[in-house]
Amino acid sequence: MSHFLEHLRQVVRQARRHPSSQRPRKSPITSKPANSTPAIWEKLPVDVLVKILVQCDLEEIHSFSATCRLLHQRIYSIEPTIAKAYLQRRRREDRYTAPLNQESRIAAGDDLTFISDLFPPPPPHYTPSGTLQESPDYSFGYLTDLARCWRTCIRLSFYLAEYLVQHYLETNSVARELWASSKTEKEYVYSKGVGALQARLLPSIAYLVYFLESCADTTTPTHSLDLQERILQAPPFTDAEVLLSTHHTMHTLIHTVRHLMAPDIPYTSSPTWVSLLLTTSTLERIVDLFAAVAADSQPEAQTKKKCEHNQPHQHHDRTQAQAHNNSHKQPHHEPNPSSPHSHSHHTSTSSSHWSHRMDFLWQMRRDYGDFLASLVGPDHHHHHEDLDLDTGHSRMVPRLQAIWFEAAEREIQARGLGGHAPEVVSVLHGGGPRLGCAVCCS
Amino acid sequence: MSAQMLTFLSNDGVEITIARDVAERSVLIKNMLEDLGDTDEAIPIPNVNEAVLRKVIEWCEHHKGDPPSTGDDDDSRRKTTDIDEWDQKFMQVDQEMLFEIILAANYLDIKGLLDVGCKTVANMIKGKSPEEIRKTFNIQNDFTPEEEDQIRRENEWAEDR
Repeated sequence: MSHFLEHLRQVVRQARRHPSSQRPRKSPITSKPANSTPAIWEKLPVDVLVKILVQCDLEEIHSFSATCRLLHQRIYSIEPTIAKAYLQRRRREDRYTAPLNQESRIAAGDDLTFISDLFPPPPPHYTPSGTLQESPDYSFGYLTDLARCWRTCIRLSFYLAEYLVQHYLETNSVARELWASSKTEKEYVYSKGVGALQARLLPSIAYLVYFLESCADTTTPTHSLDLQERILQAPPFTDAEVLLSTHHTMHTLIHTVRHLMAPDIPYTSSPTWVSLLLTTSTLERIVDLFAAVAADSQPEAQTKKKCEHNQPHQHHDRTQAQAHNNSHKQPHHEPNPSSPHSHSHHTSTSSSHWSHRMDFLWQMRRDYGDFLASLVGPDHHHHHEDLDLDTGHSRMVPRLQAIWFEAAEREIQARGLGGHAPEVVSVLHGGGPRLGCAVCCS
Repeated sequence: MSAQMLTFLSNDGVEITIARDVAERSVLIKNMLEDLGDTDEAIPIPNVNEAVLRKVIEWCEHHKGDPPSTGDDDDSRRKTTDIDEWDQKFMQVDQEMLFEIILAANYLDIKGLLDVGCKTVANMIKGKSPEEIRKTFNIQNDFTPEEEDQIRRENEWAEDR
């Protein structure tokens, strides 16, 4: 059994995208540079070169280092210095200010203060010559992971905030009336509401990524309740407010995701699918679902998709959801015939609308097949005992309740926080979307 | 009261006289004057030729009323595109002169000028492919096809966005 869990953990890790801890170290290009490179690039002092490069994006630094041997070797030799200065430049002096602080002179997307506090660089490691590095392992790979993670958090908090504000304005009877009668400030109210809610959700979503990554990075079996409780008993979750607000965010997020999957995937059977998304890519694939739904809300996208609906196989890779999806570089395979939902792909293609959302769901089913295939190997066939009789899904996918929820609810009760109230983020005249959980809403 | 004047000697032997408050934009010179006290002799600037020194002085004269640098990196945190219009025009020089100004600013410890120079070079890199950067700075591609392949593989992280 422990072998199986270790195998599962390995597969999950492989399904994540190049975490810096696993990215192979670069090997230097040792060939002598040709004399053709202008001499200035050789004599430019290191601190000046660093000062120039930290003002560029990582991709631009990469392009610059790919111009010639001399620059490649110079940048390779000072990568930790550049990486450290790069991060320094993108951190606020006042680290305790909430993210998305409008006063900050660094744009929210470039402000890596919050996420770098949460995910500090890997500790010093031993060099090939056997000496221990003096400072943490700053590298371009670390920065890339950090920036990507922060972008995921910003995008997801925005999509979720938009969805919740819109849902509130459309479904709350008081808000709907006020909203309908408002003539001049609709856009302002909506934008302000989305901004306020995004600012509330962003740190919680980053904490969720931290939790999910911590689960995957340990050597104990992924998603064991003990491990999760240990994570929740350490910072940042030792702060009751962080624990509760993150729990409310997770509850709201998963509830929303399951609604977005319906009706193609009924609400009752969506937990396993959500669990699969969380297990294989933390929150990145969930952002893709929101992006797909947002793309469908564009009128021209609907029209285009209607034209494409007869050829989903050729077109699905070009959708916006796919463009945002960086986590699926594996070769495509046919959907797993054992999947209980694989029939609905065919049902969907025969309808008059083939949407980005359907693309996403169809791809998700293929991921499930790939996931199972990678777990058991190509020559192994699934046995009936591997399947959960209630859901028809493999038992190898953790139950949704076993990711975060059980551990968090136990921790909330253990700390005597069960009597907390749901949060309301004000959007219109003091009312707004409610963020709660099974404990405070029951 | 007239401003105290100082004379500097460029590395190609030209003497240039400027006001002390202009010269003190350079932290190196400011510290040197504090250590040496008043002097009537020409102060040698061994790493900078006349043409570059005149450009540096032009910048210092224009910025002589600016608040002194705080010494940290705060000033340079503004967006790269935030280069003052006068500075942008000032930096419209050939590349050789641009880099000489940067080297002089670094040697003389004139933080504001160094920032502007580095931002100007960064703007010349931004948004460009390796080939476009090579063209901009007249760099020859000396990688073998195997090395290019290795770099491409190692830097997949940068494209995987």
